[in-house]
Amino acid sequence: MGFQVGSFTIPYYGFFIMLGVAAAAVVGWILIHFFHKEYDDFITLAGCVALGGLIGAKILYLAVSWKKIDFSRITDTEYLSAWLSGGFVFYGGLIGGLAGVFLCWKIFHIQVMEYASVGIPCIPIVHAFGRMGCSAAGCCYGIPYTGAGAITYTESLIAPNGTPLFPVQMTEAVCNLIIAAVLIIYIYRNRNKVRNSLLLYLMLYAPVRFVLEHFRYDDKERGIILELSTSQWISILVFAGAFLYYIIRKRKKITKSL
Amino acid sequence: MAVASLVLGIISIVIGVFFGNFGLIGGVIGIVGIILGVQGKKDPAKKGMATAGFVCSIIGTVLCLIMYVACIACVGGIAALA
Repeated sequence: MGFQVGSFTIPYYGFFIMLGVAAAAVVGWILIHFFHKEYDDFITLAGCVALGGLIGAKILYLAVSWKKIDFSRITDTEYLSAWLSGGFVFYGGLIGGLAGVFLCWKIFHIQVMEYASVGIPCIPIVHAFGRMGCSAAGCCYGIPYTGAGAITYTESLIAPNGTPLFPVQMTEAVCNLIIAAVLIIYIYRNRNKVRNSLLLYLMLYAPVRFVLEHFRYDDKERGIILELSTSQWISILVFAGAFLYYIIRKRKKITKSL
Repeated sequence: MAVASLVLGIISIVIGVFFGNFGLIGGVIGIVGIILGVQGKKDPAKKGMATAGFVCSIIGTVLCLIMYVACIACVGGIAALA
């Protein structure tokens, strides 16, 4: 689903993601300059993460579905392009993104954690625009609902057409923008101290995602394990991991000060 | 690095305009071009070429990925069930 520009059809999701990247680049530029850091290094780090994420997500997708690949047709450009545009696996993107951070530190000798702790609000900003793209395209849709703000799709390829649905995508977009605002305020207020902005982001987003998953209606397309969706399990693990790490760090600090 | 960035930027633009189905490859090439362009700008002698490479790579990446990027969570979920 998209809109026409001349003879080109621009997909909503790609358009909104690019808007999000542009908005995040502006916010990142302001934050990096405020903290007197190199914007070029920030772009290098962001590029490495994007590169690692893109490759990792695709490699894991191809790895889990290699049995379905007909290698005798791999030279057929249409067949190859269908596999290349076939899908992504989130965990692969996560592992690839982390590998990108490591490579950035190793190859370019950039203090990645310093930049990440300042530039972290860029992630919820891109995510918020991505969710707006979901809302426009009709994916990741909500449960049937007739209250205020309900969305009724008429020509979506993914969401059920003609049924009023809860605007879960826009709700998540607003929550992401609020998280970005909270992170910016936190970073600004702790500008002369050690910042836990990465942990704060994880501990803010995980509960939001956990709750909003209950309002999603695309369960058939995503999978449920023990009454909870995959994303809810990830949210629990992420929140527990971040909280444990925070407690351990705090205890170490107290022990050191004694 | 500056020359490599410019070459990769031009390749990603060509892929984005003429071979939209291979947007992933074009996007990867474009992002590598962006990284090389940014690093190339640190050499004052090649700053101009590196900036040109950086700009071309950004345009190429946007052209490739705007058509290609889909909701990763959804597509990943559908793929897992397929």
